[in-house]
Amino acid sequence: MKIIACVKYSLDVSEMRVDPSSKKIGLDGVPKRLGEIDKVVLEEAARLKEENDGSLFLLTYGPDNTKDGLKEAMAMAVDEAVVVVNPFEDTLSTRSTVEVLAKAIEKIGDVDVIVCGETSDDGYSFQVGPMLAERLNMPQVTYAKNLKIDADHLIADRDLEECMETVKASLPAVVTVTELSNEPRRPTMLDALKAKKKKIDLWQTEADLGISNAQLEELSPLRATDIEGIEVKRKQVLINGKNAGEAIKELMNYLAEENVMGGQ
Amino acid sequence: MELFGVFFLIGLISFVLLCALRISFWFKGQDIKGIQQKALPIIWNRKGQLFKELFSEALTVKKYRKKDRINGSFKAAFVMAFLAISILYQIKAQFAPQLEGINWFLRIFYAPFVDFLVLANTNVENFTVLDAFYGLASDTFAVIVLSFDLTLLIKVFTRKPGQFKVNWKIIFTTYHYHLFIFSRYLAEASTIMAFDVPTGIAQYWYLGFGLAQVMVYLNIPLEAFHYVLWSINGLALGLMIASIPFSQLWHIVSAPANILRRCLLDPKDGGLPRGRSLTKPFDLMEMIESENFDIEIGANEIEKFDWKQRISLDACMKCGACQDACPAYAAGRDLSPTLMTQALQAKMKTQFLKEFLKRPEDSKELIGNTVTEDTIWSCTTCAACIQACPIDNVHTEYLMDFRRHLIANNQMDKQKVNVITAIADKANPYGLPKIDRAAWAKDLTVPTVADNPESDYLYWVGCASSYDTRNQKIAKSLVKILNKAGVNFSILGKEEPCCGETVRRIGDEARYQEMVMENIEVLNAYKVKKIIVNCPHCYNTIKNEYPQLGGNFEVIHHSTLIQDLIQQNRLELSNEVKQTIAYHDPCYLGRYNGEYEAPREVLTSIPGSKLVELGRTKEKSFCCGGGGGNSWYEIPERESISGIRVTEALEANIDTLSVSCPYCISMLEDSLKVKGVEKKLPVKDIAELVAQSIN
Repeated sequence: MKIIACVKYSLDVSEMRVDPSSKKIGLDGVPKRLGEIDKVVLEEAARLKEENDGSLFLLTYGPDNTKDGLKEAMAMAVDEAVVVVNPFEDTLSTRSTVEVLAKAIEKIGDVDVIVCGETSDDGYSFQVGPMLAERLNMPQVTYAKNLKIDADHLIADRDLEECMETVKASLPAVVTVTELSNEPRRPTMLDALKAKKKKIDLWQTEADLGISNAQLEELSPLRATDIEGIEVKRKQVLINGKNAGEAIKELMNYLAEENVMGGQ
Repeated sequence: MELFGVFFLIGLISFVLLCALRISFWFKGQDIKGIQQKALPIIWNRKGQLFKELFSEALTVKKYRKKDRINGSFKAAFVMAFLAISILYQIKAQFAPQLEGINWFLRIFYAPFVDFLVLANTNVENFTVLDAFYGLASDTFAVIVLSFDLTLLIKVFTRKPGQFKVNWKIIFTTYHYHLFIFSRYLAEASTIMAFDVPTGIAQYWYLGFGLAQVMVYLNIPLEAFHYVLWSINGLALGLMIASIPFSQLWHIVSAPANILRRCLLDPKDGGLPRGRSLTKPFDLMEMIESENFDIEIGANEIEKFDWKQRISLDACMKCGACQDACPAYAAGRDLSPTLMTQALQAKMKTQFLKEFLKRPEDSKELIGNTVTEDTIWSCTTCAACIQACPIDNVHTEYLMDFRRHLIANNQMDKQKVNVITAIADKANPYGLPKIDRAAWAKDLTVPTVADNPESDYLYWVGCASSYDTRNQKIAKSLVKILNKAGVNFSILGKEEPCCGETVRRIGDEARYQEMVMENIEVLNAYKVKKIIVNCPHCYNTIKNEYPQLGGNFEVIHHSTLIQDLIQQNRLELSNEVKQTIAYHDPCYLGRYNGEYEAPREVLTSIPGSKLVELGRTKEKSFCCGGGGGNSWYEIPERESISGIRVTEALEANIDTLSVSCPYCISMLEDSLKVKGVEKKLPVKDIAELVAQSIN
């Protein structure tokens, strides 16, 4: 059983600040790290590997210093890692990313399960997982948790917030997980140091995967030209109840009016 | 040889053999050659200190006397009298004319019974003053021993509720010397009766003489049994001595050995003399350089404790002082340092004895069998137990080793994962953005060290005072004070990391070492020499634990700095703060670093203020419950540790509770809020009160 975990070395958005007057997002000095959701991806993949005695590949597409950010990830039951180096300064588009990942997955070969995050910590496009499944012509299970392998099928629970759906998919399959799919383990520092000996391959898009820069640009007709912060005004409603019971009632009515309570 | 001499001889031989067996438990599986090479020269170099401590602490049971003056004084008298009388009788035996024809070696075994020969063979003409002295000494020894027992009984029956329960049976089940004492005075009486010893001689053995009078009056023919009684006395002595290695009396050997262990704790070996900083269990740098990470971290078996830790375990005699001082125990958590130490001691004894006798073993694992996980996480590392222990045991060492084992094996709950993750990713336990670290200083004149590289001091703000909105007031107040006094200082700003204390106390030693190596690099890059700290946890770590990893800085707690500024007249405290203030000693400033006076002097310098003391103060101060990582996770308890402390403060009739630690502020204020009395008793850092007093 071969499992590939697709992760992203993403911007730590909590360290980003929007300048209140110019609305420009300060990206200078914002550190990159393996995203929170990517830890969940790795945990889900690691569990699948451990339960089914498989092997786990970490796959990522990003700048060449991505390698530095994989220290702890490598300690999460990963056997080998492949970093496909992005020849451009930034991600061009999700389609180009999907093309690179797909080619890399084909090169790794014989894959059974591909685990992705529902979205990345920084780009927030929600597209890579499903597009990858289409590109590779594989079944996809989104918002998955509790993955199990039953003979040549994958069984998973889909967390649809208001209900849980259990689905079965043939292998190979693409799975996307949410931040709530599991609680990732915390590798110890020594595990991380021990994992330093594990192999991390650096692949080039053109030399190793045969995708030219022109092709990548062609796959990205839509480009971001600028980013700007927007201000979301909070409603700041203060409920001044005389006693707790009344205040709760008032709050419930208010929330019901706003239609923000699910499962009513 | 007489029968009593034979019993004594057998007793001594058994004692030596059993002693060797139990001492072998300390060194089982240890690198004995290495210990010899390392420890012997240190012991030799410190022989002066060692003898001094052995005399002042072991012989006169100094710390025990401090804790319990009456019982302790009698115990000291007992110990010294026992030693004196043993030596005196050996000397006497070598020169006694009654033992003519017996060689010097056999005389050793006659020594405890010379009284018999003196009483049986002496007449008034050759009776000397020296003989009379021995008679008095012998019986006075019994009086001392029995007085000690009496005070012990009083202690057992006058124990306050909640105090460690010493069972009265201890006097009969563990103190084998009673048989010796009672048989001896019966033997003395019978000899006086059997040989019709003249009153002029017999009176010096006043207990035996008195007993003989009673026996004659009651018409009991004790004289017929004098030989049997001396033999029983010999047997009792033999039994008493032979039983030492496997009874409560073992502390006669293990407690002095524990003092020896303490002399070996050297700052260079990674420990302060009293073991108040954590020892470095491994060196991450060496491991990285040699690429060898295959070491076992922490402990889950007795074998994993080193010989010094095992001696300490063995030296515990269940006095209960640590339990009485322990805040976790007081809060009803699953931790009694006394019972934990006793359980580990018993495990060491039975496990190694079984191995010696080649009996089938039980599980060697300690966690889950001998200690629970709750026990391990209950400790706040406040060091009250270490402070209270009459033999200076360092209870926290064992708990830290258990924590390290759990962390190394990833056995931790989400709360602990969260705090470690927060520190690893965000360099603060709150998990708040690094970018906001210096946000508290936005509207103040606080230069960063990059802007002011020539500053005299670096102010290390610490996570709590950087991020916690309540505790930011401490940082702001301190900045006001420093600026007012014209101190040239700077901060690291966004570059300031977490000092690593929490990570280390939770047990992630490797991560701590990695963080600290980076921190030291940052500090050295800015050529930092003097560091001002307002958090005692940062203070202790940077001051006492960074040197283990090559970071040597002059670290000054803000209480000392403010005290200096006031003394140098650089601060004018003009506004009156008309309040009755009690000062709560933070564990890591007080017990760990002995700083009790500076904050008090600062508080008394504030015009209008009146300083009073809480019931438990200075080295006996009661923890706020926030140390040892306890701020970041929850443990089942009956009431909170901080709740106990604020109850004490509320009863003290004070206007303000002053502290000098941001953790204490958070814990104590939280408890006051839970009780709904936060308005009644404000909690203020000394810097806040001083800032209030300056214009």
